[in-house]
Amino acid sequence: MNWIRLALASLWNRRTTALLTLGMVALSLSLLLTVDRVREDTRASFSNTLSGTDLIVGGRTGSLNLLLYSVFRIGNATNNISWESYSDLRRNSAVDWTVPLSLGDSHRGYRVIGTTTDYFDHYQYGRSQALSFQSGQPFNDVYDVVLGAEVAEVLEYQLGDELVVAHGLGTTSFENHDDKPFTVVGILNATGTPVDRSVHVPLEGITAMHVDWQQGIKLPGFEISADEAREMDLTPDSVTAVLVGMKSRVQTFSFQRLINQYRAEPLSAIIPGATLQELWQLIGIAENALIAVSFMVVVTGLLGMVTVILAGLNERRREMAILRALGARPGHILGLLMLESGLYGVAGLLAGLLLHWGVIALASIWVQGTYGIQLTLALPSPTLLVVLAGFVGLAFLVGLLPGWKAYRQSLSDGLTATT
Amino acid sequence: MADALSIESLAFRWPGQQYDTLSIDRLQLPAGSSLFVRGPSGSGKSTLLNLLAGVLVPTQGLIQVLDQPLSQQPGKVRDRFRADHTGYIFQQFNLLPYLSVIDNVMLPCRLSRRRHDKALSEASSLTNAAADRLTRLNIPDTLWHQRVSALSVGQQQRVAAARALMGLPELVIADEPTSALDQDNVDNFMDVLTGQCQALGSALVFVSHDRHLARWFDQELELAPEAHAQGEAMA
Repeated sequence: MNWIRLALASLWNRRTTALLTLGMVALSLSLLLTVDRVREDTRASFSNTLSGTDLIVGGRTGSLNLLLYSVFRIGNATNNISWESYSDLRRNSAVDWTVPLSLGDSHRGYRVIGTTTDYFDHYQYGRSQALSFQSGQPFNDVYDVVLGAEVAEVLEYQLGDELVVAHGLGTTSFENHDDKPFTVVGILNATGTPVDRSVHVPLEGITAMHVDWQQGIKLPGFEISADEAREMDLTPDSVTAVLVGMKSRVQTFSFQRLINQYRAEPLSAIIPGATLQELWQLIGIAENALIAVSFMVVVTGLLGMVTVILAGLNERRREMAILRALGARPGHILGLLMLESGLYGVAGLLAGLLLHWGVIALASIWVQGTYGIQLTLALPSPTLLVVLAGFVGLAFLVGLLPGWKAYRQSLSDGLTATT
Repeated sequence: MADALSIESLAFRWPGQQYDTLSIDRLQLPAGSSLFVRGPSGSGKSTLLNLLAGVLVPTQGLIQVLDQPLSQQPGKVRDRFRADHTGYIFQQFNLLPYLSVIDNVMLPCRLSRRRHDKALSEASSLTNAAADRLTRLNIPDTLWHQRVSALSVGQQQRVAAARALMGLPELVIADEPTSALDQDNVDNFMDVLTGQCQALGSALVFVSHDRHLARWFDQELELAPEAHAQGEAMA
């Protein structure tokens, strides 16, 4: 029987205390692991949402607000861009492509995006990945709709199904555009971005839905049918935001300055990557605070573990005396206590990892649906792995404290310890 | 034949004390013999056992076990020597509660290669060697795989004796192992312990304050009640 088996058998003999201590260590570690995973996945999720777009243009507003509502579908626009201004910027010789976005309506809790087919050609996510269709094609008619992967899956839509857009953004709406239903003509492949939770319709479709509305209210006694609307001029008055691709990236900054100083109406142009960095700086403070709290919880767990071992030492003086009588050296006693402490660390880490993965697996379903952030079951980041290795080392080292006490006790008790 | 134990001019004094806790001029115990050490509380019985086990070293004098100058060896060697050559029986609570009866008996062989090899020289496996000791100490086989808490105090002391005799140690030290037993169990325990030590050739040093136990032993050592009194060996 080696010392590890002895330490394990001794721990099993005190299994209620040992399991509670193990639970304490595992919980503290799983908190650290989960906070770090959520942090990593949130960043990855945000970073992967948009790529290949040089500028985002919207009505005059804060840069973060513009980024959040135009790309991440979080929050609302405060101002729109007039169609004239949009047309003007589209005509600029430095501009390669534009994707106008019109927001404000929804379908059963999913946001409706009014846009053009340029959206399917130029929108990129992750590492410059283009959108692709799992079935169907881009919209061709005013009342065509293309669904994100999650919308189609959750609401069980298939090609050819009809759906009605609701006015406003609530999950439940009392004001529906039910006189102008849309037909599903395409379903996009999953991207892991807010695109999956978007309902895409042509800009003209947005205009058509609102031809008999004014100031957000349906005009009473004034109805224009879907077919009548189709025959009207459906050029929108305004759009909410515009994604812009430049012919040369060198021109990005000068074009951004041009937009920000645009005289005809107050506009804002932001560089997505730079604004994302602002976002990181902003939430970095909260992230660091969370990580610091998690570290303190881990340290508290370690201290709790040492306290439990120390508290049990007096009751174990007889055990130590028996081991000494059988030839164990005082160093063995010290090692035994360090081993026990280390075993708590190793087992706590394994249990903490399992607990963390369990929490992530359960939470990912809700987080994905609610915040659009994909939580992944993955090994900890290399930095955190180093931290965890340090934790295990520390778990053995803190065993020095009870180990030293037991060592001193075993020297003074000899073979005549009484408890 | 070599002496199991030999003491010359032994004195031990705890740091800060004015008088010696223990003082023995001369003592010799031939291999395979038994020694009864008696004396009241405070006479240094436990100190003597810790010295014989090599846990303490004398302030002066020499202790030789199996002709090895144990008291002059470094702590690591004394610990190894104890594991290899000495069986120890406590007053009570002898067994590790998280091991089964037979695992407790096999424990000395797990911690000493020498006793492991000696046990295997007389049985085909450690389990068989442990079973032999348990049988010799009258522990029924239905208890061998039980937790030690399932045993009576008398049975626990006999298991402790079985453990002390595993791997044929040359010296068995017993620290008042009968103090928690009733008279019937005392007689039974003494018969079995002294008989098996004799059968297996192990010398026995047995400490007790009960002078009636002296009849089971070859030699007797009486330690005086006062700390500074001299020990006296009687044949």
